Amino acid sequence: MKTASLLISVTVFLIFSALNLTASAAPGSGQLTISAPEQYHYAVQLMNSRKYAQAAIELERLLHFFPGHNLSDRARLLLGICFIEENDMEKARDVFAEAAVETDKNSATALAALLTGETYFRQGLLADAIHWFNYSRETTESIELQDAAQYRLGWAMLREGRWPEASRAFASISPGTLLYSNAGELSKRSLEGLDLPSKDPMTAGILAALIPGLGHAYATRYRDAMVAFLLNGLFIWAALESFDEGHNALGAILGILELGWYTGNIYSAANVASKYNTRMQNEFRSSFKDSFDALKLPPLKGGIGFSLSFRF
Amino acid sequence: MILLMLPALVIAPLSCAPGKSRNSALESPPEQTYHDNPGFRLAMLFREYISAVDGDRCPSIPTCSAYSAEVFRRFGFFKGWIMTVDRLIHEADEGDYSPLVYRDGKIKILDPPESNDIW
Repeated sequence: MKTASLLISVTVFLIFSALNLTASAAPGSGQLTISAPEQYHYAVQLMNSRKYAQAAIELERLLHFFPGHNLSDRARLLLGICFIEENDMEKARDVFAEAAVETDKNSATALAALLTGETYFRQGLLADAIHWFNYSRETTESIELQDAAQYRLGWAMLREGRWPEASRAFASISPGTLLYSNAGELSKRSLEGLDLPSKDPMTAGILAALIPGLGHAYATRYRDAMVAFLLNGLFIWAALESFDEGHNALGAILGILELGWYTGNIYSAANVASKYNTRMQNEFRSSFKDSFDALKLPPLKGGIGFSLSFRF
Repeated sequence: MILLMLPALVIAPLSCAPGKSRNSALESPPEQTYHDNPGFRLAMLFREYISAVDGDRCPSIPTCSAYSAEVFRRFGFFKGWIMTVDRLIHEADEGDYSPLVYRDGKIKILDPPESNDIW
């Protein structure tokens, strides 16, 4: 009896040992099973560490191995954001276009459109950005997305120096939403743009035509003004001296060259006046706080037990 | 008197001689098909024969000769000429207005044709 129970015990032990060996052999045997949420989580971790190129690879892997998974919409949007952060706007736009086609969620389509606008916004292609922000705002049912699109429209108008329109865009953000407080501040401050010092390119051009260099001085570029004045002065003087001394051919050549310097001086004055205005506007805008965060918008925000914590 | 003219003819272009490095995408030579443009040919002649000897003294990216070749290629002779003159005139104060970039061991002013296209 004792021998029989010993045999049973040994048999049971061997069976369980064999089972355990099989289970623990899996990692050593080169096989690993990863679920879609684990893969997604890893990609999010990489994004949190600002390793966007690696995160993009992991998100592409997720989309390849789990094409129909309910995390696919989010993965595509995050993949596009990775490309934005990597400054590859063309690829980002391709991904957002694919995200809009593949999803059946209105929020994912609207966010894809909004982020497409963001790619143009970051490239300074403001007309295209405004088109996509408007499209996103008009197609979504989500108040948060509508507000985010409106907020981005305000920023695009700020970049264009359309101060009253920017102010109105910020003022129309819904009270109580995440962007409301910052938008209210931006709405007030946008109007200060109307009082920014500016130089009229037309005036600069006319001044440069009257006296070469004067247009540059008007745009507060005094060293450029000196260069323009001296170059034009020397060429005019040399041409006149050549004619006076009977070197008509040389005088004509110098006169033609001077015509180039003179015309270029007018164009240059208008150009530097524009640059003056751009600099003033850029300095003014640099003090503004941008609270846009795509990761706090549906369908990316919350809901899966872990979230992104980096600022987009 | 003619000798007095020479500095005016020479100073501005020489102040913008391109660097030895031709690696930058901004400084890539324009396409062969634009070689018939006289402005482009002048800019390339300057680039190949004068600045190659003169060395890298241009504070801007792209260099003035590369910039000039590019604007002649893109905008044609008349506009290219005016934009070249504009570049030569506005260089002294440009550092206060355009972004500065680190290139070839030096800090340069990023001033491509797109920044000066107000046509």
